[in-house]
Amino acid sequence: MIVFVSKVMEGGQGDIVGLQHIGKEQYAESHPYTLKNTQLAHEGDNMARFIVGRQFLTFLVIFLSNMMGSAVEGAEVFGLPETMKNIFLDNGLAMILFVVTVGQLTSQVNAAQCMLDFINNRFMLYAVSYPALVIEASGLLHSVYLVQVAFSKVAGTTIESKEPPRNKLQNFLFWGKVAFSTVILTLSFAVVLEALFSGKTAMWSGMPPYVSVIGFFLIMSFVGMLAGLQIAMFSVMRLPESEVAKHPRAKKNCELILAGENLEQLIIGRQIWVTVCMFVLARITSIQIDEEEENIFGVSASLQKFFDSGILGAIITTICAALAWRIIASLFPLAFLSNPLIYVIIQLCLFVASTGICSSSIVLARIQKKFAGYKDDENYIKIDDFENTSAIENRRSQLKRQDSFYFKPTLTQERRTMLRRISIRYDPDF
Amino acid sequence: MVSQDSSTKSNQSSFDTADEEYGESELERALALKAKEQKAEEESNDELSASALYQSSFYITDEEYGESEIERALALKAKEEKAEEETNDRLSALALFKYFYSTILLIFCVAVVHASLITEQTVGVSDNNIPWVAALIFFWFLMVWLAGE
Repeated sequence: MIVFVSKVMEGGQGDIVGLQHIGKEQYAESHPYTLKNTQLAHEGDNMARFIVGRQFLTFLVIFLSNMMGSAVEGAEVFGLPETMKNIFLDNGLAMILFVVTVGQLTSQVNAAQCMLDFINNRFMLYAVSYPALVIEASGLLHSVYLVQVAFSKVAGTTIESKEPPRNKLQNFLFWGKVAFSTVILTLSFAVVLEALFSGKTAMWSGMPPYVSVIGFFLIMSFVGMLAGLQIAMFSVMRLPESEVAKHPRAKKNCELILAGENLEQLIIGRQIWVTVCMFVLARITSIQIDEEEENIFGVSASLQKFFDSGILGAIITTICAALAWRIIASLFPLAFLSNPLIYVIIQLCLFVASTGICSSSIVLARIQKKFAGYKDDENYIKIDDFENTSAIENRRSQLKRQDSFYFKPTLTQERRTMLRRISIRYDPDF
Repeated sequence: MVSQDSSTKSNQSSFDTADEEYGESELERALALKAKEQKAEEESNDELSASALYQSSFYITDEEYGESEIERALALKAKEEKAEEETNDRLSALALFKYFYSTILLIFCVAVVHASLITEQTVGVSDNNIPWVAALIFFWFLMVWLAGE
């Protein structure tokens, strides 16, 4: 059961990343839409573009859900006592648990087990894959590539590409988009910070503006560390033991992740925390202006409506709370894992997963699987080990020798399958 | 369990096989690979048995040891199986409890969110003057999108 609980990973995105390592001929006839999805996403550098665009769409959907479903101040339902109202309505716990369980974890459980069936539909192709690539192509998020170029130079590495070098026109367009995105990001920050300082956001009442601003940056950093954690982890696991040993804190964090069933628990806990934080960020950055109040920077009513849509908060969080951290984690995995806060974050993830607060997603996932007729991937294809799986096993066996009591001598078939699934679904390069 | 672990090692070892170890024909090459895999499996079995023995020795009392090596190994195995069964039972009970309370909590949350939507007490409906039916449909569209991506 615990193994089943642990099969929670990114949904459709994880499938597209995971299927990079599977020969397309194996499912070309049985899963035509899966093939279309993977052909589109695996072409050239589309995988990275897809991740960028999809990340923004996810944040935007969470922000919009928060706007649609979160209760107004003083809302009353079912005659709930004050304490319950505070917890579930005013603090939004009901909304957060609903979205995490129904909107995310349930489908992710099935997406992890049934990659081929899960994305074999028009919805994934036309509502997720194409829009994600269109969003990326719009240049709205291109400032993230500026971060990538800057940190690559600092790290002294080159950015790998599956496409030929850009020509002059392509270069001009690319850097034009980077400039456009940087301007949009700066304006978004200006608007959100102005709203925060003047108390014009959906932040909980009674919260001083400076606390809101500090909280905004702290939560963005927290989400960023969560976003980069698994990328840094897989990158570190691929490094030689001698290299990791030079960084005792990173080594300790790595050992903590690999001990027992922590890796699986970490993935569940991480997902819960990311969604909780996204809701808090949505609340902090959602602009709310009373009728008698002046618009932000005195803009027109229509522009103010655009600000109110939550799109600015989604742009900021996508770039500054997710993608930038993923890049940093990918380029400096040891430094990332050496951060003392990472240890605290891992423990927080393990704790929230151990409470089982979202275990109902497993029940829902079973129902969904039965009605949708999903079958496990092993019914169609053979998923071989690939380098991440070997990296996990090698590192575990090294730790096992050091502490044979703490580490079980062998992995069960279920756990091996699960580790294989985890390892193919995370791309440590982005 | 042993065979799973060893199969990984054998997979790795097959990649590690150096060119000079290969024979001239396909058959010789396959035989060389197989021999190497068997050797790796034996080594793995030895290592794992030693590890299992080392761990279990903490939990076996002198009275439980039989006279012969076989009796001793059987006692160890029985004890390990019993401990594993007990652990699994405890975990199953705990997992069932988590499923139960989490499902009840989810039903409550769904009811609360829908009640506040229908009674027009959400930000979208109340502050943006969106009809609650439209807000409900849009909200579920967002949930489906989130679940589908």
